[in-house]
Amino acid sequence: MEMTLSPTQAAICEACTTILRRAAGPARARELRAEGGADGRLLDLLADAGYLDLALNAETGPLSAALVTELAATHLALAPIGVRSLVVPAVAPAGDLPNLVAIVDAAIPGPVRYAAEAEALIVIDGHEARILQAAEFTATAASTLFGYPMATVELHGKGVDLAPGSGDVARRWWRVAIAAEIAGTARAAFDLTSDHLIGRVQFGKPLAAFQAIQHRMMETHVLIEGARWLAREAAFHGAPAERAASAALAAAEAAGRTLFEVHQLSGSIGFTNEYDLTLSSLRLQALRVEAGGAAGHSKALVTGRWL
Amino acid sequence: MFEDDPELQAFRLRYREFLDANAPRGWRVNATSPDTTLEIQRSWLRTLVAGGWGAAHWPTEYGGMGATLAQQIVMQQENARAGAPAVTMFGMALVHVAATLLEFGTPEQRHEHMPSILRGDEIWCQGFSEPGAGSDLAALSTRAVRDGDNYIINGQKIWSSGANRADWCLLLVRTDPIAVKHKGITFVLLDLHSPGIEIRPIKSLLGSQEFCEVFFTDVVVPVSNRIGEENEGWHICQTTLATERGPYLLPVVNKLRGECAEMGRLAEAIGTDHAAQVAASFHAEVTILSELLDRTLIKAAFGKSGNESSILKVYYSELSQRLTTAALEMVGLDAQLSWPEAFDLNSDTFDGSWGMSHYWSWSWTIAGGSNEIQRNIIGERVLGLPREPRPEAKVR
Repeated sequence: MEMTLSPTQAAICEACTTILRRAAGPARARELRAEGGADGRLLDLLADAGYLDLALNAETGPLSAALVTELAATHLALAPIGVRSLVVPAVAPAGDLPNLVAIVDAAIPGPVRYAAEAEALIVIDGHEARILQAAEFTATAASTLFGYPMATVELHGKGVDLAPGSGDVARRWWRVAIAAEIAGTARAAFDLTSDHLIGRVQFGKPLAAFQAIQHRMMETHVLIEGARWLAREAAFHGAPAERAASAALAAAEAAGRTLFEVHQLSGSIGFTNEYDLTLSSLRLQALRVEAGGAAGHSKALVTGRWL
Repeated sequence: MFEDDPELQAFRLRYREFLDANAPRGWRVNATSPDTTLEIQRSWLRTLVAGGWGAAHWPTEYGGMGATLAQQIVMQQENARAGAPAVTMFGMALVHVAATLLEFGTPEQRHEHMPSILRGDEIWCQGFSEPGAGSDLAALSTRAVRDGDNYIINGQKIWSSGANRADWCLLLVRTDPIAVKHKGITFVLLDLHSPGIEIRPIKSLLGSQEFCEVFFTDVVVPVSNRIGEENEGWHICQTTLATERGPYLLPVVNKLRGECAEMGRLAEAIGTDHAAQVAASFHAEVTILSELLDRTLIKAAFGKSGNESSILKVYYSELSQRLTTAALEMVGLDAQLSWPEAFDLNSDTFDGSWGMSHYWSWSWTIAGGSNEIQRNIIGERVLGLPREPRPEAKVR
């Protein structure tokens, strides 16, 4: 795997950044936090430009899809871009699915991201998976602090079975999507914190000038970068179980450390709603426990690697 | 560490009897807003005081119980057992203000405020931090200029918890702008109902309004409200802040103990060796914390407290974050869906919401002197390590 972006990948990232700067970002995230719901408008913009179907294109492939997922998260996009661009192409390549798709593992209790807004729901059931249309499930919005729309889901339709073994495939790509989303979201939280530490003067110098703080920032940075590269690598290799789980595990752990560090180092202002930190940091709370969290990823890693 | 001797056991039973007869039940159902919570706490404080159980740690001369440390701990344990409301909204008054007045206040100041505090008539807040003076508190610049028998105050404070409901404020102001920065600070008692004060609540990430910005424009404070001498405020505020790292932690450590027990039940329900191991290692750590608290309190009772209370604060706050994080992982996303009805973040019993406990734990490593500052205190004053070179000494 090349560690630098190819000209095509670089061009995709640049073009996506332009769209995301215009259509996503903190102001839009606040707007959606107040209104509730997912950013269908952004999803349409990315779909129209072809950025949600990169995984199936031989020239771009899933790595490009992972790059877009990560980038969208850094820009605080509020839409299931990872599921749509990484999971859907792997299990429903015919391209007849709507853009707003949510995913749930029947074995994992708890609320589901974007379920109330989703036009279709991928349900993982052991080794298998099926797709339910909006009329086949009920989603009841749940109140959380995460900044994602979450809902508890009740299934009442049978849905359409996906190809045999799709449950395992979906689970693997879901892990890659989560890892890419964590890498992007943690980066947003980290960068904002870094700006704060450089700009805030105490004891006559910027907080960032204190070594005790530099060391912690450096360690957090390395964890986020590690998660980012594992996610990219897993996508590049087609999400084999071991790599996907290892990326998700590293990301969940990076999310936990990042969350702690960015809030501690931002001080009181990080505890307020007026400041932008919570727009990214609280999302990490949801991402780090999704799909079974560190425990689930660890189990998948051990199974994929040794069993 | 504390075994009940017969005398302490009798004390425990007397207090338990009082609680059984008087502690409100089902009060959480009504504690749905800061205002209703405040009234529940006020009424309970008055009941405690009327029954002779108010302000355990105050000297009897001022209407307190003059209780021993062991008795105070017993009372905390019994409060938790009975599920009695904690009087957290009066905590600043009962603990910080009392400690400051008893050590540095004039007899007039004590007689003006301590009885009203016991009656539940005075709510206090702290006016220490400023936008430009957080960890570097001594850089504060809210100015007080002497004008005859008054000070005229201009400036701004921030992160004053509960200022929007408070009547009085423990305020740090700059009286000498030229001196080395921590030598030009004065400590005053500010009547928040004075003209020229504007209070703006700040919404926390929990959606509640826990802390406020407070703006002062030509606010008049009589010199008789000064604590200690002019420009001696830095030394005095260390006492106020140290209370936050000592006895003040009794109820929250109790709460953590309750949370740890809850985690044990959770681990049992999960039934894996790993869950059991996580819960067991937290149990060991909470036990260490309790021992650390007892030891710090005993030292404090013998007047040797000081800087070791910083160890307690760091240990408690970080353990609380780690324990609640582990609990969130055990429960999964569901843990962050159920929020308690009671609106009391400082409650001293586990209220069933790991989410609330967890998010609230984030503030403990920042408030009252961040853990970075505590680590400096521990390094320099407990371990005796050399100080980091200070880049400057003057306030702008």
